[in-house]
Amino acid sequence: MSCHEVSFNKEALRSENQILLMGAPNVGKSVFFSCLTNIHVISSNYTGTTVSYMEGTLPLNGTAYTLIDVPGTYSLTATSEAEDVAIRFLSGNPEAILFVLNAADLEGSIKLALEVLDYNIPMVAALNLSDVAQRQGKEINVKLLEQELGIPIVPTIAVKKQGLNELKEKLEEVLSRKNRSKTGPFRISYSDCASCAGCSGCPKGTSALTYWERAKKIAAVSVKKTDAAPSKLDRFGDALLRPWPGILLSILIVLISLGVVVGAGKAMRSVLLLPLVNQGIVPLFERLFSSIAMPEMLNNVLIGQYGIFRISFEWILALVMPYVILFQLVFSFLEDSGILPRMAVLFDNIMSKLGVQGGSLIHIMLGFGCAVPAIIGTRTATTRKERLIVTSIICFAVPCISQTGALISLLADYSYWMLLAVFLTGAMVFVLISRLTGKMLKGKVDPLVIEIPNLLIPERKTYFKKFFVRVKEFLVDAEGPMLIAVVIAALLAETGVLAGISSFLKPLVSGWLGLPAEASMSLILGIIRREMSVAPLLTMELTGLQMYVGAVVSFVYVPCLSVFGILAKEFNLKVALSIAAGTVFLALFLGGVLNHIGIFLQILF
Amino acid sequence: MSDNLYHVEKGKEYIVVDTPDLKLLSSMGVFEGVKIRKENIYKFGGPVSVSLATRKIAIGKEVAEKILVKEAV
Repeated sequence: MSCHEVSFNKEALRSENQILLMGAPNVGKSVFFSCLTNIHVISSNYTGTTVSYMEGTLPLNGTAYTLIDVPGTYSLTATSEAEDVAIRFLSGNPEAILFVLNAADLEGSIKLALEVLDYNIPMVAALNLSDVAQRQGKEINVKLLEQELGIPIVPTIAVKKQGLNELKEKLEEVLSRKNRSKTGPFRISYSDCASCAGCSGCPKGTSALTYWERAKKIAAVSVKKTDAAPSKLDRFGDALLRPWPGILLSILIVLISLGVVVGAGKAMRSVLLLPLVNQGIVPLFERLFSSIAMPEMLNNVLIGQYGIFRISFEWILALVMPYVILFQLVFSFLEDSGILPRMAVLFDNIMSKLGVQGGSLIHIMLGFGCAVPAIIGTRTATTRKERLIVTSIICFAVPCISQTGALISLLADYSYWMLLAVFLTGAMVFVLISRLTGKMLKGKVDPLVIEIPNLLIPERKTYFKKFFVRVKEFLVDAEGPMLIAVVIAALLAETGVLAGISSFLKPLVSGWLGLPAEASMSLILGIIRREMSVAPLLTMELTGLQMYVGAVVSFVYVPCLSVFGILAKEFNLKVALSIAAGTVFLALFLGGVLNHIGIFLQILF
Repeated sequence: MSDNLYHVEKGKEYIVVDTPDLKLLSSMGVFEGVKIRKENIYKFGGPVSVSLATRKIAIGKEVAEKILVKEAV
């Protein structure tokens, strides 16, 4: 019997035979989940990668159990959404808990483990990150720890799949023991309510403090400090956290990352992909279609200037793919290493001047990949105001990597200064939007409180798996909309519909923005995918000013259909519509103003 | 003698005397009586970083100013 009030919750009780995977944030739960269920969950080296829960099947003793990846929490006091979710699952009568202890942060892990143990659910613990603990000169006496906590404990290094089989065996043991004697206590050292702390009905009424005291004692007896010198990696991690040389190192890391993505992306495009598309694939289709008799219009739709079989390869394969691949390679490394939370700390002062806190920097950087996961990630924000500000910044001022790739192709071929000018304009929009939304929205933004993880060298297998999953996700999620955009582009351009729309929009596109009338294509395609608003500009002969104005308009313009969908889902339709309308207005307004300033300057000089 | 965490000298160990009412702090391990080491301070309104027994955390200026500490002896 548990002395905790159990609130019945239908959703949490949905599936039977549940095993909960629990632990503090960033201890590797998602890695366990991926390895045990073969469902890949994105894991990173910062807190809060799993903001909602995931479930997968885990066969044990011939029964199919549902393993649930519960979001990581520091305690079970229901102070955040993640903690609410964790408590709901604990109250849903699960069969067992697989608890992940962080060997490098034993005291904190034990404290949470003690809280979970009070729910009296059979538990097995993995002592993960034992390599990091060793690196830091901590020797953990597992036998003693098992005795103190009264549960089986298996040392593991999840990213290397070490200890996983033993962990499964222990889980099977605990489950079969439980089935034999449903009523008997499974724990050795405590009986049911003796250790319970703080349900409202409970006379004992202990607080968080006693958990910490007990955790401290247990950690003290089971950890022996060896006098290993701090490893190079830990010293580098500390240096990266100090203002000097941390800020310089961070800037260098960002510049190197950018250099790799932009430089290698351009090289891949010009050396490999453009020749492949222009001299290989497209001529092949040209020959193929010319050998088949068909009406001219159909032929144009298929392989004309905007033909489906021409631009789908030119735009998707040669324009977008190289940058997406390289970005994911670089960003996955930054995520897994633990560099990002250090940047969040180093640049918290700048971010708080902009009305948010340093932790938002992680979401914003995620947004440079794709806005969708970035907006989902903002669930970890503690207030709605913060969430809305960061989301607005991502929608207005953070181009996704597909769009960045297209912008690089458009602008860097003209001049790197042009690229810089567009991104500086983007930075101004960033400041404007954060200030504006900060002023407009009611409520407050909580200051930064963040755990700084140990620096890790990403494990090769986990790293590449994540990379492939991300690229695959991109192919699955983005390919469809991109193809739809390509088909629409082909139909509009090659059937003459575009000419009609262009003449209708001419006052706006040519008169106000100073762009060629066909640029109306950008405004139409940009609604579907961000990079598709840039791509048509590549085929036009543009002056420097037109290029700058066109790039700025696409930069700010509608954040694509998928983002609109996620905004409506995560917030509501009103938020989605306001942000979409806001971006359209700002893009056209800013573009027109910049165009007229440009013309004015040209007259002056 | 107690002073707030934001203003005390870095590189020294302190005992926490009082904390603001923020659940996240205590669940991360910052509460009355705990020994912490102030590691870094970040200028221009940045946070402070501190080491607890086994973890490192960063605390924003506004919160750090409300955490009272005294020097550990």
